[in-house]
Amino acid sequence: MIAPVKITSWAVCSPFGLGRDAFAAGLRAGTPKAGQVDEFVISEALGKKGTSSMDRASALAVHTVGELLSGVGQRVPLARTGVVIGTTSGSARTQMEFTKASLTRRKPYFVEPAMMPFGLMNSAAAQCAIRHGLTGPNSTIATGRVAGLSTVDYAARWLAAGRADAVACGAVEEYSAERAWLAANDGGDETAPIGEGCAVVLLEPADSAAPALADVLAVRSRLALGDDHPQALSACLREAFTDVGGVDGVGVNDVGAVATVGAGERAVVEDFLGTAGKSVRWLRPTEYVGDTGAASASFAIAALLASARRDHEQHGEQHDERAGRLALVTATDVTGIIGCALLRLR
Amino acid sequence: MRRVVVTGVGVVSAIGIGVDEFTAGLRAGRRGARPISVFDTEGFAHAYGCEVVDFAPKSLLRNLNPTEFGRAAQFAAAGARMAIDDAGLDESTLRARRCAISIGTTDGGSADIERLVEAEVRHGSAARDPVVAQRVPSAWLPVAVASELRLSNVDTSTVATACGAGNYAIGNGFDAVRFGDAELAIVGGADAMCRMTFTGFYRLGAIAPDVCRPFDAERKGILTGEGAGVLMLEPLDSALARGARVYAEVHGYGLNCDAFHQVAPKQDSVAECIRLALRDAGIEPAGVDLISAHGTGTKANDVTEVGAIRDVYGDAPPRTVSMKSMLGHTMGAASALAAIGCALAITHGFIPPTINHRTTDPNCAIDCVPNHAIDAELNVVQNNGLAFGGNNCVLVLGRYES
Repeated sequence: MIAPVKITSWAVCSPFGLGRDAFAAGLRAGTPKAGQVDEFVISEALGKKGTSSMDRASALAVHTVGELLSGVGQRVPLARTGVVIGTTSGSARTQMEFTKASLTRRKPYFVEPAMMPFGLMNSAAAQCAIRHGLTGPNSTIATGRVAGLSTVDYAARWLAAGRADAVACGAVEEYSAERAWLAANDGGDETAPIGEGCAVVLLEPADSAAPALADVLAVRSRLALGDDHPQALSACLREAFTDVGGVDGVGVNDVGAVATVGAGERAVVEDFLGTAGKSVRWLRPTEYVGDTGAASASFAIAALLASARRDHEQHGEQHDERAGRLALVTATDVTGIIGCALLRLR
Repeated sequence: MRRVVVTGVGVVSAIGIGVDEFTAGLRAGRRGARPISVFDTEGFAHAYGCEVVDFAPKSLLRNLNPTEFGRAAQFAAAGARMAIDDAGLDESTLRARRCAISIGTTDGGSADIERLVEAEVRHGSAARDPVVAQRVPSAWLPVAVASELRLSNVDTSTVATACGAGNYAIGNGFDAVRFGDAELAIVGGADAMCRMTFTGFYRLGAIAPDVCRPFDAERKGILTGEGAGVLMLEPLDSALARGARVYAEVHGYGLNCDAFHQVAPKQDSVAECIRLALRDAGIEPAGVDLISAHGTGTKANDVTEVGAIRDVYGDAPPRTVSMKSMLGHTMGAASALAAIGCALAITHGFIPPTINHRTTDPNCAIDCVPNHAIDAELNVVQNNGLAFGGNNCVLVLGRYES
């Protein structure tokens, strides 16, 4: 990451329901609920116009980004508002339905033309732009379960280069039978049932006027070649703390919360934090909302923000021990990409 | 902020594999079109495309086992291997530096999605092969590059912005090197022929029955293609320090979104993207010698794109060519292959032609350098990438003069 950026807002649509309160309440109650966002009906959320062939991922992204940007247009021009959405491979359901039609109908081109653009991986980001009038930089990053961190790093680069004044950044994954089969056969060791949803944050430069919910201090990623996932994650963590200026354990004592994606990450982080890890709050949204694919790391960030919000509500500004403390996010993708991010929760 | 230069390129394309064949192909106005053979075309009235023939992954790859990766990932890895060899870098040098790998794609692992659906349709869902399923995630493309080069201290990303993805990935690497996020960036785009994409464009009426004729009065659409274009970007200082050959400097880029329509481009938004790119590059319109257009050869794209060019450049725009006339539309690889073409044009002093040209459409009033390459001293070249979904990205390359 070139320079720290801050998170000024967040929004989420999860299997617990629409919105941040449902997500936070669901995590607090602790009863797992994977699968679909049951309350989310595309035609209800987005209207009937142009949505009959829309994939769920695009629709979830449009809805969630809309929540995120409510009110932002008054202070950031649409042409200076960026969008970066993370994915694994786009809407597998749309791609497979389209291909099946081509293979089974009387002519191979008897396919639904309206379906084609929704099968492209940039559909969610493009729909966010079209439906919210966002003409700024717009991109799609396909790094699977690490996408929630990749998109933050990528968006931070735009901000450093002055290409946008604010970036809606996060990831989305939809629920479908097609994705369930792909997830079950992806060669990875994630055993949670699949979940769907979208989680996004608004990133701004550190010196923007809007108050910060969190500062993003570092994002680091590596590739585990072969089976060296623990070593790769440790190296990432070391690099992130070095970026922040913490060496020889100075930084690790400031860590108050850790949100992980993959099941094996906690052991590595515990090892890395040493005794500092004893007083840390551990979060792993996958255990509650299921394996949300590309949205996993974005949900991890959202879980930290939800948890910080609750701390503020419970303890108020003065006695909030965790305010100003560091939070760590880790993620692992089935391709071997590994990432971590260091946040300071305000 | 550091200056960023291109020191190596790798190419997998229908007109040549490797920089020398590719350069010769561009100079000769080689046509990459042929009847499609990589998938079943039964039932389509016409099915020409620009396939890569003679792709021998085992001879191009040193470490990667090609059978473990999909075709697009193999293209990306082969392109990267060629690029680092071309740059005169070795794996140990790369390993000693913080690298960024960013590969653009439209379809990623879609060819494997098709394989799964076909197995299900023909033999039932139990016939779907999990090994094929594992190749689907698009993240495999830059990971294949990293695996081939045995790099682990590397930030990998797949940019999935459809037909403009190559430029996006190059821009991402440019920013990373410029601002010190990375010491080296291996960037570009890759895509493999995919029946799903062909079918989609065919159904939209956008596939040409014979050849791709950008800017021609009788143009009828694209020919789908495949391949990979990979560029090595490094800081100017370190390139000079190690005596590297510099193809071109990356001056800057601009990106925006039409926010208008899923497939139709928006002229004023494209014009604005060009202006953003020139501003980022610190170049005035009068300083641009050549435009490498997105130039798909569809009615809509070409007239809209030329309209946008004329909005920015006035009545005497620079010569504007489309390499898609030769390469076909290689999707995520397209703007990366074209960017390499721009860098080679600058280095060797020629303009790649727009082939298959008979009569320029009066509504596309530009000099498209028809059919034959011409010699030209080029100082600044603009490369357009305009994608479905309104994802626009324009790159500006220039001659590096010491």
